[in-house]
Amino acid sequence: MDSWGQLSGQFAVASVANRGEDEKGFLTKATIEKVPDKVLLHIFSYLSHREICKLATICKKWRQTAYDTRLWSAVSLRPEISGLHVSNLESLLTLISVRFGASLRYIELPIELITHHVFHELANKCPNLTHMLLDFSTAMQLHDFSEMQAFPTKLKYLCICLSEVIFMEGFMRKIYNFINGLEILHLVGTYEKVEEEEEEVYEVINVHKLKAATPNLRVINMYGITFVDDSHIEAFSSNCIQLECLAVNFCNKVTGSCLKTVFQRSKGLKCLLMNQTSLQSQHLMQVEWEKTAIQELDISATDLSTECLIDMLTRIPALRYLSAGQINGFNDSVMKAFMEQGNPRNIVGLDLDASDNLSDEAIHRFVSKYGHQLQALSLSGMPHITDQLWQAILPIIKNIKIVIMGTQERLGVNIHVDQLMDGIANHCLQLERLELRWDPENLRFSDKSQKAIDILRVKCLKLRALGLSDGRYYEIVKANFERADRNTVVRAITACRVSTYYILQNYKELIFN
Amino acid sequence: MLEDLGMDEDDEEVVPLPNVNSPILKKVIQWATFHKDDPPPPEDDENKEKRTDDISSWDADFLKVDQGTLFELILAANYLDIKGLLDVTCKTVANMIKGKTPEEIRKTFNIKNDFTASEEEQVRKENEWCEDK
Repeated sequence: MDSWGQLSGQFAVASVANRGEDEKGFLTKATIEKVPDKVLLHIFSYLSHREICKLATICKKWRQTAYDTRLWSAVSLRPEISGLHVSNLESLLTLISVRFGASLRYIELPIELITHHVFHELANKCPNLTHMLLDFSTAMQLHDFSEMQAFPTKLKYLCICLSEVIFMEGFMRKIYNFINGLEILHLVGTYEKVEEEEEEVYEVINVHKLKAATPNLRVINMYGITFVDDSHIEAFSSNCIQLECLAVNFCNKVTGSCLKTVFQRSKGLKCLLMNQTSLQSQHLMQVEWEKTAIQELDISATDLSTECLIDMLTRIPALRYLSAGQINGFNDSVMKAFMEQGNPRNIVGLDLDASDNLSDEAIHRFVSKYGHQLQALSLSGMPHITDQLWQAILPIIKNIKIVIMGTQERLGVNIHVDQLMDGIANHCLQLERLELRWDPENLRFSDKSQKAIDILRVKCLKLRALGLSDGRYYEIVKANFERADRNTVVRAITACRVSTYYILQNYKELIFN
Repeated sequence: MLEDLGMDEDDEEVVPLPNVNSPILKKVIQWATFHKDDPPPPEDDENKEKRTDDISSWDADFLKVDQGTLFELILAANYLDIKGLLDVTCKTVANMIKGKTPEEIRKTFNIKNDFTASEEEQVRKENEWCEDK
């Protein structure tokens, strides 16, 4: 027993030696401790910040790697996002200088951490901080900013989640001097929280003062803010001459009365998103569309008249993206006028969700002519658009990247989804995102469906998202993809929605929250 | 790697690989052969969330090896500058780390805890700021 013990002891010594060779001349096996620091950092970069903090307690080398500032360039301190729960303001202040430092580029702060101490540290210790999100949405009251004297000066992107009732001026007036380099501004409102229409609406942020402080804005997004109306948009356009992209989705007080002036001032305005606003036809018809540079337009869920739509679409020089779903006035005559007198030759994205008054013939005619250049197409929310039309147009839309089909309303007919999948696999090889909104009871498939799904999976290699209504067919497709280890592709549409916005040129800058 | 060594692609020179033994090199070649028609990996987008759930089934199978081999592959990929192999092996290790307690991690990877009791207490305190209340 003794001699065996000695022998194994000798072998143990031999294998601990640094990448030495054992008796037979082979390199001894590597362990995680042999991995160079740069590679350990690479491994850590795949883990969440919360995990990384835990890893610091493993051993000295791991602690050193966990504290490497390169892992901390984009940090969210909102617990609901990152799981990081800052319990101690003092320790945060130390961290800013030691852990984040010059690597920090993006930070998210919840209301408890929006204090002048934090801003002073960020201003002094993080010279590369260019993106910031401030979440005031759950605020009960504002901290005292009277002693604030420093604030990050290199910000290019600022997202402010507004509260319903807290007035922001006490904070905003302290930062106006620091934010004139801002290029992208997001103001996120609380329209989702409003329960009754008659609730008092507070103008919690002073847009007129804000616009004076931010002349370099290119992208402005005011999302779901109940007090925003045309005067606010006009205010921004009076000072922000570089404006390229303006989004006011869900701002229901906006009527479009400012647009004539806005376009006259902002000659570079290319993208205008006004989903679910209160646009009025007479205002939109006043705009000198011929002189604008507009390329991307979202007017969905508004009450524009047929006359107005025809007027707009025949005068806009070259539209690249049009979202005009849920408009009663959008009927066949509009489509006809657009094709014959308008200019659809640059169109790459078309979203006609729930366009009840558009016939399938009109859609077919349009897609036959322009389908080959489309990258995004949504014909959802229309019971009369079934797999029949889709089968006819799939061979045309060869370059399509995003497709949304189907409606959640129950149909009288059934959708032959196997043939549909087959068609998609054979024609739409560039497909990246697909969503089928039909009710699972309306989907008709057979025991050949596995083959159709296989073909789709194998041919559409760029497919990264496939949304289906939760039901039997969803289970089958999900299982099929999971067997092939493509686990993240298939989603239930209650959890995840596909949007045509991905093809907007400013998409990356429009992402918020 | 050839660039780093100052060699031309057309040279007939022998390339020394003292840090990679032959069984590992065989596996690396196997990986590279399977992936030879892969499109080049996209530029690392700074703000892109790094995912670890997108390892293909072939790669997952290929990497069902003992830890020693896995780390040898990481070292080889690093030395030979093969980004795709380095990414997928690092993701695999990251997946082995996720969700484990520190003690479990030490056990899995045979890592010695070189902190003294007081040092360990200090590190714990240093990271209290991000723990749940």
